[in-house]
Amino acid sequence: MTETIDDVVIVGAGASGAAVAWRLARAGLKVTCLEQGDWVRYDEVPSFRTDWEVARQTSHHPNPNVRQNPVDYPVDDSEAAIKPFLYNAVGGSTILWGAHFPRFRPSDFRVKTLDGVGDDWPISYEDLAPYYEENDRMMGVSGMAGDPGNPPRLARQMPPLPLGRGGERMAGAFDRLGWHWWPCDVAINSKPYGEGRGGCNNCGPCDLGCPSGARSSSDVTYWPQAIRAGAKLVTGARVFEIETDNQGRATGVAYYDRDGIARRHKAHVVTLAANGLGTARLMLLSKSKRFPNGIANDTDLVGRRLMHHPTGMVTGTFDEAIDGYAGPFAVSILCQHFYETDAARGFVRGYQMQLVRSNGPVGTAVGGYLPRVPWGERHHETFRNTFARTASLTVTTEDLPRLDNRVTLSDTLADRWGIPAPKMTYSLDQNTRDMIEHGIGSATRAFEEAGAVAVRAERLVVNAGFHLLGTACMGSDPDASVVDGDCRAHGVPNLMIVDGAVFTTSAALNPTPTIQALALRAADRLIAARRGVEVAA
Amino acid sequence: MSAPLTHLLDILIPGDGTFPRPSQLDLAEAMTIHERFGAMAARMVEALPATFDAMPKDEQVESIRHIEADAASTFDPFMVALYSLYYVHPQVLAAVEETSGYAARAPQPDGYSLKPFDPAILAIPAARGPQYRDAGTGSST
Repeated sequence: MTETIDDVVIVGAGASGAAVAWRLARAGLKVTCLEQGDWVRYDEVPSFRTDWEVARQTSHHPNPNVRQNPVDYPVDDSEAAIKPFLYNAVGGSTILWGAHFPRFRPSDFRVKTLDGVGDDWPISYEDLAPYYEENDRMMGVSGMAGDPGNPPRLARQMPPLPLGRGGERMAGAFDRLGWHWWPCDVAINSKPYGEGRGGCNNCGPCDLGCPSGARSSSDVTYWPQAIRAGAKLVTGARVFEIETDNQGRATGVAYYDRDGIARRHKAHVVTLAANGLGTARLMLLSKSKRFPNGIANDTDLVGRRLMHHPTGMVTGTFDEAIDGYAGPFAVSILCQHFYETDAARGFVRGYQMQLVRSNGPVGTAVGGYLPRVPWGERHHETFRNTFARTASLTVTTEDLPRLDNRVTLSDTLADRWGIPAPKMTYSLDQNTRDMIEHGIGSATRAFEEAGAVAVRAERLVVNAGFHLLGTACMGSDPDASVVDGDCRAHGVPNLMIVDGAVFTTSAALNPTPTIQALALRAADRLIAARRGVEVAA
Repeated sequence: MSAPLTHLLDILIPGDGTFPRPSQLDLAEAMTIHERFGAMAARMVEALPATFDAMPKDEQVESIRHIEADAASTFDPFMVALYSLYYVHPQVLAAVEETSGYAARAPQPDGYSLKPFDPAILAIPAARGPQYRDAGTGSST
């Protein structure tokens, strides 16, 4: 093995790894990030080809078990009700995300105090607010200030994207029902913004990579600035162990380079940014005499409390084309009318309803929002009555943490270098099922109000494990959490975790802005405390 | 393998109006040689009765329904493969365009027109008071 030494080594170059690298490098720290994927080439994205939808089912499928690209690791999901979605590249899962960019609400950080379930975060919305603002500026957000559904905040960098014909119909329906809605905050440029990034041209498949850079991803936002500030980014680096000294302090990481050669990278601080699946996997792999169950896992909490955002999907079919194939697929309008706890509904916490557009021809035929178009004599009749005529509301619920929902190491699967794969064990509780059922009723009512001629519900979207949260949870009590409010491991003072693994609770909103705000704040706290951080000799 | 596969595909997607049958597009051949979909096609053909080609149409349909119900791990990926290849074929995309107005071209570089956002649509929601709960941490309602 060869050795180098840095102030900080970061594992993962996605949403949080990029943010923390930029912040630390800008403060003058010597930073290296190790990423197992590669840079995305935007001149080669599938949306330039007429067979772009085949890529969605193969090389660009969000599930690594389907995609099976050489840089991916498999995930044992044999006992998981929701399947994993993630991407390995510079930019991480922001390469294929829909770029919905909501902030958590203040109540999301006080779940135990307000509703008697889950746990309170050791930090508040107000602690994160300035970092949300800075992250908005870095990523670029299109949206509208003045939403009564959230605390006041600065104007977004760009005006909202248009709602589309489906969005306009549903906005009218929500207004007639008296339900609050607002245009989605989106990390998509409605006009040129950022370094060399153009405005959205409404093409639709944001998840295949945006060649104009309009759809934000951390490879085109944070990374260019981080690298200019001195951060070093190594691709094709597959980390398999966090190394420690006899006192249990992190000394660096061991990884395989793209040729399969084992290397060691030493650093005073190790920062994990590999998502709630990859980070838990790496911590569990990092066993030593001091940490026989994995690093910082004296409490047996690493990997536990896995949270997703269990999602039901309701699709309305209209009697005319609403052209849902055009425009960013995941974002139009957001209804948080049922977001806060109301005991009369029979469940705690709540859900968001996010209007998503529809699919191209292949996506319509193979199903997803709706069942697969049936084969046989009526195939084309069904296709004609469906394609371009649908819109869908997600019913995205808050997932309360449970110890038996967890990530462990698979006994049967390993990646191409023999590193054990993560295994997800996950089921839904009754509170979540009740919430989804309520949401399906609400969304159905909304579509009926909007004039849909048919409404169909899917009670659980199995392929919806985009948000991998909670597996190294944040808390004040070292006996009941893995990291403190500054994202530093309780038992390993120079180990920092900055991805969704640290979420104490999940809220019912897309997590990326909160993940990145936490990463920026963690970096600032490290910079402020750097001379006091206990590091390996 | 090509004969039963060709026959099977035409039963699954019979063609209709401007929509061609898979056999008119040589889709069985395309599926067989596809890097990822070829194996799915091979598994599906293996699942068919050996006498599939010689069976009456209603029995063929029934045998497919059995596979759909009893061997989803074979049938479902096969259908993804079939629909994926069928609905990206230029002739099929032309039929989709004719029936729906959807442009039979790649999404990029042209995209679709992007209308400016009209804030007038927000008149009702913007007039509401705060809709979020006071958490007691400073952002009070």
